[in-house]
Amino acid sequence: MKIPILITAIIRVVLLAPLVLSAGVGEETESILRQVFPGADGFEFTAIELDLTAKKQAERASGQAFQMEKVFLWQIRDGADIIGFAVLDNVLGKVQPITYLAVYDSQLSIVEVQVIRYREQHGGAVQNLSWLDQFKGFASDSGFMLGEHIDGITGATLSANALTRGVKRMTVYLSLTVQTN
Amino acid sequence: MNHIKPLLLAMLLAVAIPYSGGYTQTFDGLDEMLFNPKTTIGGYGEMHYNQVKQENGTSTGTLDFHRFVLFYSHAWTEQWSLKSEIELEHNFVKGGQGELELEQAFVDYHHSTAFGFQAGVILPSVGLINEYHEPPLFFGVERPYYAKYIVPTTWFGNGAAVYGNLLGVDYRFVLMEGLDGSKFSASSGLRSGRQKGYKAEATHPLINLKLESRAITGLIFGGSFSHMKAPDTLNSVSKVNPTTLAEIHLDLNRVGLIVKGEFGQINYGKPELVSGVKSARGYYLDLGYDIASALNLKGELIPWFRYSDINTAAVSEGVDASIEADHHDSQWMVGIQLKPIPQVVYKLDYGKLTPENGTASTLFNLAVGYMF
Repeated sequence: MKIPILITAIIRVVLLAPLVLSAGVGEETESILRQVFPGADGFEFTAIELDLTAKKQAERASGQAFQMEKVFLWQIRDGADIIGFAVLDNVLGKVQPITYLAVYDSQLSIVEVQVIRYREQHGGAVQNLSWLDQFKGFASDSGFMLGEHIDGITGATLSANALTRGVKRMTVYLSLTVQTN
Repeated sequence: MNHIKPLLLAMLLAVAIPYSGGYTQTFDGLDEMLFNPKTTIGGYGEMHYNQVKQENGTSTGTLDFHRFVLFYSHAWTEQWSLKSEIELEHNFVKGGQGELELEQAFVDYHHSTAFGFQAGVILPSVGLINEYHEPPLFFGVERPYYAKYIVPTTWFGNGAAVYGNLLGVDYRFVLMEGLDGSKFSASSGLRSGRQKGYKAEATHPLINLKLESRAITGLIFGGSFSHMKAPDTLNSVSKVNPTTLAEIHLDLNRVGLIVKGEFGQINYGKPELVSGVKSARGYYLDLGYDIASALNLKGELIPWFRYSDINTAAVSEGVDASIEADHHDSQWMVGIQLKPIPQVVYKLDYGKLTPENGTASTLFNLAVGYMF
């Protein structure tokens, strides 16, 4: 039986795996932003305390509470012009948080949504870019109903619902707090 | 914008002005801020009304809070978490009525998308329903007969698993307690052989491998293979019945059309230990269509149709071949399910179960179910 060999291999990977370090979430996000905005020359990152009035409005509009106490915001510049914004945010999956990136143009329309960290066995299909591409072009006044404007995902019901509400929450929040041209 | 917040703007400007086109805060501590240890509660439940009318005239009707389930979980770090599922069946436990079960309780090490490791009370990866059995996720008040007599859901036990996604394919390999071969039967397949993590006989473990694709949104397809020696504990553990279960499954959900299907076969190495049954096999096919948007309704409203064919004694050996017809049932069902929100479902269905040898019965079921 080959099972003992397999078990040895499993144990080896389990013991060694924690020693392997991955790139930080900030660096990883910024490299994605450089792909989304190849012409940009400035990626300015700030962590800002939530504005309480805007927070309440965004939570009411999305039916979902903020998981984070800060907004992790990038302003993307081409020379003196702001050409886009991006936020890194968490929603709660079944047990673990899901960290996603929402990228906007200068008028706060969504140009890209990606899952940066998915930490669970089930529901990983929310990372599929074909599903996330549905958010492109959405803005704070768009419908964000799962099953109506955004397709649900079999086997990822809770993750898909959480992420859809989260993107809406963040989009509404930015529309209330960020100055556009 | 009408709602510019002066403080926020000042902060943005403070960052932007001194170093226009270059300044950025560092990412120090960002990874830590994006994760907090947390305890979470989830769950699901379902109440059923089941009416069965035999063609010979007898009829029964029962109202049952079939399942009340709590998921209690804790994440210590991004990689390490505990997941558990505690289930109360039939609302009441006393003297063999109802059941209280620990269906899942495992430590999960999620290293990356490619690799994770779990140990504790786990579910083997067999078919569409065993690992995803919340009521909003399947058609019908009751799970398909297939998910009772071919794949004995909910199938759980003590063991360990590795899982992950490589090249777009989800894999999971499980090594866990086997099934009790003395409890296999011509009428209910493997079902009564589940040891449910209770002081499980473990000299002959079960191995289970699943490969599945979820890379295309709205399409799941895959299969699994399970093998166990299934000791006959009534006689002695040295008497074994090498048993396999192989299955394939599909779940398509595109533009309102839902197609689900599963096919599985059980092979017993020693038919003489299962009343002469050599193989059991079955399948079902579900077709549904979401008509909510056509009716301008919110949520989902899905009429559906199911055909299923199950034979828990499909191939026999050394016994009267009538055993094969005696355990062959076909069934059709039509139903409708309403999901006002993705986590809540109301179900209604009607169908007919026709044994090849025996009395047909009509079924009428109602349910409410939820998950969170």
